[in-house]
Parts: sequence; C-alpha cells; structure tokens
Amino acid sequence: MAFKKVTQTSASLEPIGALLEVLPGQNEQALIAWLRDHGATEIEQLAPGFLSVNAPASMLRDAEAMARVEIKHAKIMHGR
Amino acid sequence: MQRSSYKVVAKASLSLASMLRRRVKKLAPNMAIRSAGFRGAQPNAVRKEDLVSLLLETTDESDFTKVVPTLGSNESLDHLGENIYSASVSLDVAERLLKLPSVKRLQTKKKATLHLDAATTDISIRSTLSGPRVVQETGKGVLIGIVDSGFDLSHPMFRDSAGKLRVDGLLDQTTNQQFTTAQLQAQWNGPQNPAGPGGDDDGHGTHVATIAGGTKFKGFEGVAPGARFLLVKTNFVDTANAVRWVFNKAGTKPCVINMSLGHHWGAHDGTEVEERLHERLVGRGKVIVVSAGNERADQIHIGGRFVPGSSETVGFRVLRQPPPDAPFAVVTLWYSATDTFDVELISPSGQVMSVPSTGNVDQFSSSQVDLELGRSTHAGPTPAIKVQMQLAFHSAAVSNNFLNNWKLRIRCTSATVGRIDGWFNNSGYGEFKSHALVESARTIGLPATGKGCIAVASHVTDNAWKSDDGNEIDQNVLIGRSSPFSSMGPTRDERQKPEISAPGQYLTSGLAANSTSSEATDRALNNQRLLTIEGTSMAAPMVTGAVALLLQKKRTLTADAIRGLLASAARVDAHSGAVWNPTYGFGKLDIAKALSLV
Repeated sequence: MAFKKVTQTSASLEPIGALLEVLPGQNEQALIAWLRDHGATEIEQLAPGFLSVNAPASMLRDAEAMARVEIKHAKIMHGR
Repeated sequence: MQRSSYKVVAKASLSLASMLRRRVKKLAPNMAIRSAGFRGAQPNAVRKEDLVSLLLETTDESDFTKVVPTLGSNESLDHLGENIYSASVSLDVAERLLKLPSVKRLQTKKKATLHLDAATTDISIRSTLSGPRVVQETGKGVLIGIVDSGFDLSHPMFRDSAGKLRVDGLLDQTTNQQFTTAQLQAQWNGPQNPAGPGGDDDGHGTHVATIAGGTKFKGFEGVAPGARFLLVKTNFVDTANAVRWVFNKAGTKPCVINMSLGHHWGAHDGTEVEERLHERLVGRGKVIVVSAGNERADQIHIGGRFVPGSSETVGFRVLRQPPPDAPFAVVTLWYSATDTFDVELISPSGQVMSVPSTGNVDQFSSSQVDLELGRSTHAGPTPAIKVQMQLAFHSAAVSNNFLNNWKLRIRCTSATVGRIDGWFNNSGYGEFKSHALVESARTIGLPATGKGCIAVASHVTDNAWKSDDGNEIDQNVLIGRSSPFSSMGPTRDERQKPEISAPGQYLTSGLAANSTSSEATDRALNNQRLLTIEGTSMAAPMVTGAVALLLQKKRTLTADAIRGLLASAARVDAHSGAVWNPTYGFGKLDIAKALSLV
C-alpha cells in the first residue's frame, strides 16, 4: 500500500478547546480583546495569565505570538 | 509427640518447604501413583490435583526465561510483571525451580481471607480491621473536590446521618449546568441514578468520591467522612476549568481536589499549560491530588540515551477501538533542543516516511489511513523538541497485519544530552513491541507529572472481596507490594514522582446504581450498593482524604507543606525501601503519623 504525501489542507474552522498561557511581556487584556474580536468563544480566565478558549486552529496558531497555546487533551480514568 | 527437624531452603516459603518435605519423607497417595508409572499414555501430563499453586520471584527475568524447566501439559507459568510469575506446577518442577539461581523466592499462594477494609488499617486510620478510628480528624470544615465521571447522589455515602446531602455544589461539564445543594437535595430524592443531576453512568466517580469522604456504610467509610464535597462531572477534556470551578466555589475554605485521570500527550516535565495552571492555583489551604496512572506494564513508553550515529528501530502496533470507532493513535517523542535526531515512520509494507524538520508538518494518505508527521519546539526551562506522529485509520475494518506491523526508526545525529523519550497518547491506543528501549519507568501520566500536584501510586492491601458472583479472590497479587499496573516515575526531567503510594488494589466503596460498574457481577455487590475495583484511581482519593484531615488540623497548610508532611511520615518497609524510588515514591501513606507531625 503506497502512501502519497499530500499538501497541507486548509485548517478546519471547527472550534477547538485550548489552554493559553500569556507569554512574558504580553498584555493579557489585549489578548482577551484580540480573541474576542476574532470570534473565539467561551473565553475564561482560569488564573492570572491563564485562559481557556474555544477557537479555530488557524486563530490559535496566530495566538501563539502572544501566548503558549495547548490543545485540551482527552483524559482517561485510572480505575479498572 | 516426637520432635524432628529439617532444613529449609532460604528462598522457599515455609509452607512450600513443608510440602516438599512431606513428599520426600512419604509420598502423598497421588504422587505415589505417579511414581509407580500409572500415567497411561501421557507420561508428562500431571494430574490437576497434583499441582501446587505458587508465586515465584526472580532475581533476573532474562536469566530465568532461559532456564525454565519443561512443563507438563497441565502445568503453567504466567508472567505477572515485575519479576513475578504465577506457577501451577508439580512438586517435582517446584523443586527444580527452587534450585535455579535466578529464582529469588518461591512461595505457595495463600488462601485469602475476606478483609472488610484492610486499606484503613494500612493507612493507620484504624489499628484493627473492625476497630474505631484512631485519628480524631474527620475532615470537618474542609471541602473535597472530585473531578470524575459523575456521582450517584442517592447513595447513603454522600449523605449525613439525617439523610441530607454533604455536597456544597455540582458542576456538570457534559451539560454545562451547575447545581446548588438545595437543587441537588430536591432532585436526588430516591435511588434513581443516573437520572439525577450529575449522575454516574460509569460508576468510577461514585467509587472515587466515597473512598475520599464517604459516610460510614455497611462497614465501609471514606477517609474523611466529615468533609463536604464539591463535585464536577467532567467531560474529561475541560479538567482545567473544573479545577478552577472547585477552587472558586471553595473561596477561603480549605479545599483538596482529586483527579483520578490522566493522559500522555505532553512533555512529562511539568511544563504543560494545565500543569502550570495547577502550580498557580495551589497554595495555602488549596491542594491537588492526581493518580499516577495504570500504565506501568502497557508498553506505551520508550526511552533511552543515544550517542551520535547510533540508531534503533522499534516496532509497534495500533490497537482497535470499541466499534464503530476506527483505530487512532498518536506517538510523541521528546528530546533536548540541544540534540538532533532523525525520526522515520515505516509502514507495514516497508515505506519509509521521514519526520520533517522543526516547524513543519507533513501529511501522508493511503486508502486505509491518514498520517501526520510533525516536529516543533517546546518552550520551558530546558527547551525541548517534540516529534508527533498521528495515525488515523479510516474505518474499524482494517486488517490485523496493517495494525500490527509499524516501525519507528530513531537515529541520533548530534547530542549533548542524548536522551529521547516517547509515549503513545494513552493506554489502549497503541503499544510498542518488546525492545530494549521499552521502559516501565517514566510511565507516570499528566497532569500527575505537574509540579503543583501530589502524585499517587498504588499498592496492594486486599486480594479478596464479595461480589454478586460470590467470594472473589485474586491470588496473583502480593499484599504489601506495589500494584503491577501502577505507573512509575520519575518525570522526564528526573523529578521525584510519584510522591507517595496508597492502597489502590483492591478497594471496596460506594457503587453507583444502574451504572456500567453495577453490571460487573464479579466486582459489584448490587444489593449492598458496594463495588470493589482497583487502580491508582482508588489510591489517589485515599491521599485526598488524608489531605482533608491535615487541612482540618491546620487549614493554612500549603500544598508544599503537605507534600513534605506526607513524605516525612510515609511508612517504609521491605517492599518500599527507605528512600524515594520510582515505584512507591517516599513510601506508603501513614495518616496518623502525618497528623502527628502537624
């Protein structure tokens, strides 16, 4: 079975849940305003410098100039 | 009565020595028949009634596997993990095993007695199984936050002696609804799980919460039965928001949060944003406890040091998911930003696909699977490079051959540190095949690797329980030893995690009615509303309850102070060793001693 290298598809517009940690020197309120202006939803300040947002992948990539961005990953239970 | 003596081989248990002695002195009838050759056409077939059940511990597993005696058709030797085997063999074979230099210890499996609640004596809340609590604290005035699968609030273990709920609030992240005590009291007015708000389809959350703080019920009691609960039925994604919600609700009251869950997507060095958030949120009277994980034996981790020019190829398989989901797995590799590694993914047909340079992602596609290979930088005190390989199969109808025969080739091109570590995203998605790079160490998951939390391993305190099927016994576990599944440390950046080990195998506590757990007839005791399960999920709430007792005694204790108290008070024994180690941490939980140090 042969694999073909494919051109990067355009990023999905589907919102993704992410955690953001504001980078040193960046303004948190300015970041929140930027996220809101660009259509991010469910913006929640979890602690000073830490945000939870829902936003498309392309917007999260752009936000990387102002914050560390990490997709929220699914966890599993540790009981059996 | 005449006295006679005989020598016992040091590595044989007394009971085994006695059995061997009896056989030598005077053959038991069934052995006599065997000796006389009445075995028909199957001279190697040992009768089942001639077999003895043994637990065998080796000094070196690889040496042992080379010299295992030939077994008869009814005999068996099963690897249980961590140099331990379960054997069902004749006394002949037992004697031969005993003579092998690589056998450290051979003992008969003991018939287990039913312990009601050995865990509470193990952590020193009680001095005897049926005795009263020996610690004054009950967690009164402290809030216990539980982030889990849901909660059967009709269960008496969530209620006080007057039948009132001991719950100060509940957030259901699956419906994005919040409930007050009054609303919960009104809507949970009968045994109707999972119909009430925040109900528990799975049963995990009810069990975890009642271990930490359940009201005494049918002889079982949580560690902190005087505490009150803040509960989050989580969607298992927004756990950071859950932690924030609990601490917000707690306000100035002391509060400890339990998270019996985790994943392996991240750097395993405490630098993920969720872990750094935990660091920010904990402090005076605010503590987070996380289960270490159950991945020790799941072959989800590879790691080792390379010198420039060295190369290793590791096979792996992608695991099927419950239908109709298609198989899906992600492998992430992490190494120091000062090093350079070439990484290639090799398909079952032998096609080699290279992971691109840092800052790039390549996608590949075939008729059955889409691949995404990328490399990026990861910020932190010691910057790292992350390689991510994602395999997303198109459907569940894929051949075993195509799932089972993938390879990963790693070649070091320059090194100052030289170490590379890799993980599957979680247990149950993929596993590496046997290889020198596969490690049990560093299987502790996230967010347990975070600097802000207390990470908890599991050890065995019980091997018998009652269920709807009758009396159950697991003869393959050794009481006092680490649970064979309990994930090990240290973290990728060599920090000492887990901090502590607590009873997690097996624990009996509250059963959620009408849940998946209630259908497990070998674990559930439905008419008693009790469930017996195992996992670091069960060990973590033992520690969570302990933290609630400490916070009752001194509400201003910081998370760091509590970590220090638990470590200083930890009980050490022949299993745990006297110093921190990646299996038990600083030792076994000892609540009474920890309280005495406050």
